[in-house]
Amino acid sequence: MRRGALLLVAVLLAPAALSACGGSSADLVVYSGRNEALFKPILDDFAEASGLQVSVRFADTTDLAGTLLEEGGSPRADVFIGQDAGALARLGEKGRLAPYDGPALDQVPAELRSADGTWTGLSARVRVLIINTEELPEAERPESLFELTDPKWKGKVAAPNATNASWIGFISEMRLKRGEDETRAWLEGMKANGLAVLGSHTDVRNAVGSGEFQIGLVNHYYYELEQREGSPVAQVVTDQEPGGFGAVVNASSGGIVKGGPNPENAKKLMDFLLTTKAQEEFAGLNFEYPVVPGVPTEGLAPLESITGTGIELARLGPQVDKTLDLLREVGLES
Amino acid sequence: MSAARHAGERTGTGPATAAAAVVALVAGLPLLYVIVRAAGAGADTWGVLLDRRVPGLLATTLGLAAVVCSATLVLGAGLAWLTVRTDLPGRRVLAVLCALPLAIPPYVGAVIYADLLGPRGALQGVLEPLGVERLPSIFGFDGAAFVLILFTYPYVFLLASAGLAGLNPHYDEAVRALGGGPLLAARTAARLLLPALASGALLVGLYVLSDFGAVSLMRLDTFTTVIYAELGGRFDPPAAAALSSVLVVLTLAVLVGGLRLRGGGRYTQTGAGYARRTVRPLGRAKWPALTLVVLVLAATLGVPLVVLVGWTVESLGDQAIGDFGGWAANSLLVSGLSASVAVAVALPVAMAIARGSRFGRVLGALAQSGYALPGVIVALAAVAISTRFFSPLYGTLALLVIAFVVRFLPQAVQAEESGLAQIGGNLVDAARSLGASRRRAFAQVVLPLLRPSLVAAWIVVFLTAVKELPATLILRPIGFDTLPVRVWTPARDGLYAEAGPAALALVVLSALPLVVVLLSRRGTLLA
Repeated sequence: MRRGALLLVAVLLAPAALSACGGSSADLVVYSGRNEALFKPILDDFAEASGLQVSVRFADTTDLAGTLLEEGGSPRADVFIGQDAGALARLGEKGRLAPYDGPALDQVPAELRSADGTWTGLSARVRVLIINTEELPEAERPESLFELTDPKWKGKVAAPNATNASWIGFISEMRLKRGEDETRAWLEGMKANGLAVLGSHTDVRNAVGSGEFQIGLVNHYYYELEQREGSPVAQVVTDQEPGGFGAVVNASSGGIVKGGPNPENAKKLMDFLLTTKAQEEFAGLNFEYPVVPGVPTEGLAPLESITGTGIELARLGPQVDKTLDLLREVGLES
Repeated sequence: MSAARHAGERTGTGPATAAAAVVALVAGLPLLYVIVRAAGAGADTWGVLLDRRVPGLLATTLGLAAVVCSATLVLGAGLAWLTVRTDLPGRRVLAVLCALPLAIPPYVGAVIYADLLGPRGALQGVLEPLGVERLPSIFGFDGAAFVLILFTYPYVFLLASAGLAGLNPHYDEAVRALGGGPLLAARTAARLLLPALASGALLVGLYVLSDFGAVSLMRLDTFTTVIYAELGGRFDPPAAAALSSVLVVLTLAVLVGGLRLRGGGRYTQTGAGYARRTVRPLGRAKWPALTLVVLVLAATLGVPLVVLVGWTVESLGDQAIGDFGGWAANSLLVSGLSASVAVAVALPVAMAIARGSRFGRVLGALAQSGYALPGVIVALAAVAISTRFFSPLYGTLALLVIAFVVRFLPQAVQAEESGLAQIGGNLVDAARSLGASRRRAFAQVVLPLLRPSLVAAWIVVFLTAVKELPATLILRPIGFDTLPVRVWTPARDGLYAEAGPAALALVVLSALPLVVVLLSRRGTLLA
């Protein structure tokens, strides 16, 4: 009988013990769509400087955005960090973000943040081609994205999958600037050309660095990171000719979650991410473009020298679902 | 009649049946969710999916299952025959070693072989001086099949070994006396072993259908990876459910087909006879056979361990040991809790099945729907049901444990049911006739006798849970990383070596209980 009773007690106590484990004791909960290796050092600095206990969930931006939407009126997170502005703009439109105003916000260029303060860019990046220089001499490198559907690149190009928010933002800009039909035709051409869909940007840059593919579609700092690891790589900023498509400039972005458990600490983190110190880390550790003036970049071509697409980032929000639909229809999701 | 009576029939009580019904209901919820949600997915969603995705996914997923099943049958049965029925040198040790790759999850195998055989990998480095500039890509169907074969064949091996050990050698002798060669002997044995082989292939097939990690890392799209993308990418539960329903139907078809095959070709040994264990002398084939076995073990154990140890040594110091302890502790916590809960809640279900009533069988089938539910689907259902109806549960460890229990309940139920079936009903009768209450008879007679089965069930669930990847990725609480998650995170970025320490810890953690089970001669319970 004693054993039976013990078993019964154990079964009865299990849910109580489990729910005790479930509660979070953190002072601040962050959903980070940014890669752990790139973003954790900055969060660690914040935790040290503020003395707050920070709990982070690292996952794909799209995944976390979906999670936040599913959590509805009682979100678990205080701050949402996304790989691109589109994810934040979408959350803002759906009323999931609270307005933020901080000392440095005015210094962020208007085109890199929302008008209502619900989100702001934290670091800027340019979509580029990363090229393996051993496989592809300079004279042969493509200068336009639209060349990549040419049969001569068959099986030689890699891109991330549809869980990658930067990739989604990029397709959204193409849809906005070139229209649905041309974008679909381009994607179908890429698929027919054997575009390799990999798990992440890091996977893409490794695969190009190792020569498995000649060309990868990534954000510029993945080129910088791969190059600094000693791989034979170069980058091409595409479609720079006058009147051309331009290069897609996007921003990793952050916003305060409306109704999150620790709004004051959320504001502290947002303030911190726009300080010179944090901006220097974005630029110094990750080779991104800072969004506040006066912070030097690590040997990057000035952002002003790059011709963008002219699409405002805030317009990407409503496009996310349509872009995902298109990727699914074409069969380039994963 | 009395022959069919066992303890299970004697312990039926109202509360136990009620408990079984609750368990069956909870376990059946994900299946119900998938059916309802898939039916509710719009015609547009279904149209796009059926047109664009399903045909290709069906071809890949079924093709992969067919290739891996066939190859593991040959490999598993061949190794079993060599280690059980021949005079292969060192066969007892080899028999244990051949089962050990079960401790290496296929996604860990995928990490290792993606690095070794991938572009600019170790093999390429070795071959480069010989003028080989580029190896055929390891990524895709072939690579996925290769890794899955190497790390799932132990299922077939264990069941075939058990079958062969129980097989009366007279059949073999009869074939030889009648002048039949080794081929005919093998064919005869294969017929008699059909149930065991079919069970093994069935387990491999079910594993392949549910695998997420290995196929993802090998960059192959199957149902699980696309369902994961639907959920993690665009967060489209109806589309994920629609695809899931197709996968569930596929899994059920394989399950029913496999069970048919297992039961259909049954040949009965009449009487136990004198089962002297004979071994077939291999003669001149002895050393080639040994070489073959050693080569297989090198690929499935030697190479993986050398690579993992190498990576671990390389990255020691880069990673904080404290983090490590935390991940290992989380893995132990979630798997241990899941195993304990599963063992406890499986008991009323096993009793309901053992009673043999129609209601009991229905409850049993419902409670075992986890067999047909790959991890991504259980996770999908857990997210949707908890956020909608039990929102405090969402994002907690409890939800992850519940998902694990639903997923792995079948293994616990099977182990406990077979244990119950072996306890004679007369023991309970005797206790009752001596004045013991039903409860007392159960607690003092049945439960102690059932203990080995309970322990085995716990170990088996623990062993599977500790390796679980997709449901953990989707359901883990904020900041709750387990060893599989820490293998996955760097590996999906192509940073294979960084996955080394967590992978090694995971392999050690699963190898310990596995060795305990193997040495206690309950090896077949794993399957």
